Amino acid sequence: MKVTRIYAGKNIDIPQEIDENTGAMSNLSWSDSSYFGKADHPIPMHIEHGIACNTAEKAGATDRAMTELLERVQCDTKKLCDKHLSEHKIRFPFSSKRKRMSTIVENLETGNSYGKRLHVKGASEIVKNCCSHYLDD
Amino acid sequence: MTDEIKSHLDNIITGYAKQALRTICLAYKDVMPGECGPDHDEPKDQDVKDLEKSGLTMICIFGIMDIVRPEVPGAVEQIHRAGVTVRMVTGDNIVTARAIAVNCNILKPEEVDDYRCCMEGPEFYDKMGGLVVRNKKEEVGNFRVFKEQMPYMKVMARSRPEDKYLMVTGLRQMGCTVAVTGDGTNDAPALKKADVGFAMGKTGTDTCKDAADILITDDNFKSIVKACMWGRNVYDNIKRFLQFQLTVNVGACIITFVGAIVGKASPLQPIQLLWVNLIMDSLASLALATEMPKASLLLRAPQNRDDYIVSRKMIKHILGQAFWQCAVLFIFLFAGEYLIPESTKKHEWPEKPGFVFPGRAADF
Repeated sequence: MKVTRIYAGKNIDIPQEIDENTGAMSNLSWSDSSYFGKADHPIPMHIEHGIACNTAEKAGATDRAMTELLERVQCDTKKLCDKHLSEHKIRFPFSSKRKRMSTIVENLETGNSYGKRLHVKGASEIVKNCCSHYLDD
Repeated sequence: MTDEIKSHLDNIITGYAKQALRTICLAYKDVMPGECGPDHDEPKDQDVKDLEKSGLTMICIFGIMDIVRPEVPGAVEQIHRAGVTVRMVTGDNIVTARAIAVNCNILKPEEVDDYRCCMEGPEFYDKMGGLVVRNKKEEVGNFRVFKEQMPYMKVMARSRPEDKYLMVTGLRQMGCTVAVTGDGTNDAPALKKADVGFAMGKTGTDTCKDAADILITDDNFKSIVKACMWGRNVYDNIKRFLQFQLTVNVGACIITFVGAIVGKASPLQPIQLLWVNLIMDSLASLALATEMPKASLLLRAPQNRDDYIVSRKMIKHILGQAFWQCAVLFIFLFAGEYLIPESTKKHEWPEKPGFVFPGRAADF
């Protein structure tokens, strides 16, 4: 499975080119004008956190498609996990009844004194109905 | 988020789904103190389940493509010709499921808009009246509706484990032979309930492998077609073996019986009968039983669950062949001395010609 499109305020097509030298998928950069245009855009950061910290150790095919995307943008997932996932992280694994999985992670960015953030990943129409806000491009 | 944006997002999701993309949504929420327990160390299940239900901030929607292997539509077509109906049961949403089913050839283009062909799991469960236990047997609550629905039903979307289990239970109740494939832990109950459970060898979880009967080591649908072909081949080989064995034995029984009554001694000595049964038949049967499968096995309909292994046609063949053999053998046995010219050079014959002749007859 491959991530071919992302909708984040606008539709983004992910090219499926294979690098001839390495034989792997070609690298991408979020700061490219066809993606988010600048390096410090908040959406890519949220995407990286959301996937890196909220993926089960034994990833399924769908999860792998998303972690492969992080590899293509050269995201250091291990560093993110070390920083945000504490020893006793709180994770609610995917269940086909809820159609989503959640993890509570340390939130160091916002300066929130409390410093916890819940990441949710799951079937779109179900998660969407739980949203009250969205990140615009 | 206004209703306008919500409906815009709905359009985006539907648009992705129509391109056979699985849509996954990423969202986050900053957790306030006091929510989900005092320090989050020991949260109760229900707390987080409530937490993830509202007030999230959507980050993005992913459209994930599952590339259909090029051989799959052909394999589905092939197994369909073999009299097997393929149904897709998936956790995806109904639009994605429908698009993928069309790509895989499970759903014909003219069936796409037929509301009876695609259904969501929970709706299916309610309509069929759920699972009930009658006389210590699991049954579909509303079996009459189930029987009407099943010939059309091809795709079940947004399914939960209990929906899959109900479907298998109902199909078995209808007298169908059911094979289930799956890779996830939640497929395990259905795999166990099915007549044949196929688990994915590469991507499958241990639970689903334990529940299955057969592991598909290359995770390819084509291998299921192969398994079907081998299954039919083994069954056919057993039939061939039986037909051959029974023909020979019916013939031998009649000859021995009639010979013993009419003649002075049995035309076949015990040692000859044993030779015929143990050595000649076993080797010949082995040749029949090890025949390799052919593609033509998939061109006919499957046999019924309660068909006899020795079919009516086989009985006809067995009896016909046996009587023909007996007729020829009796001619030689009783009229042989008038028919077969004898050599005048007596010393060239073995000492006991009677021993050679029945052996030849048995060979014949």
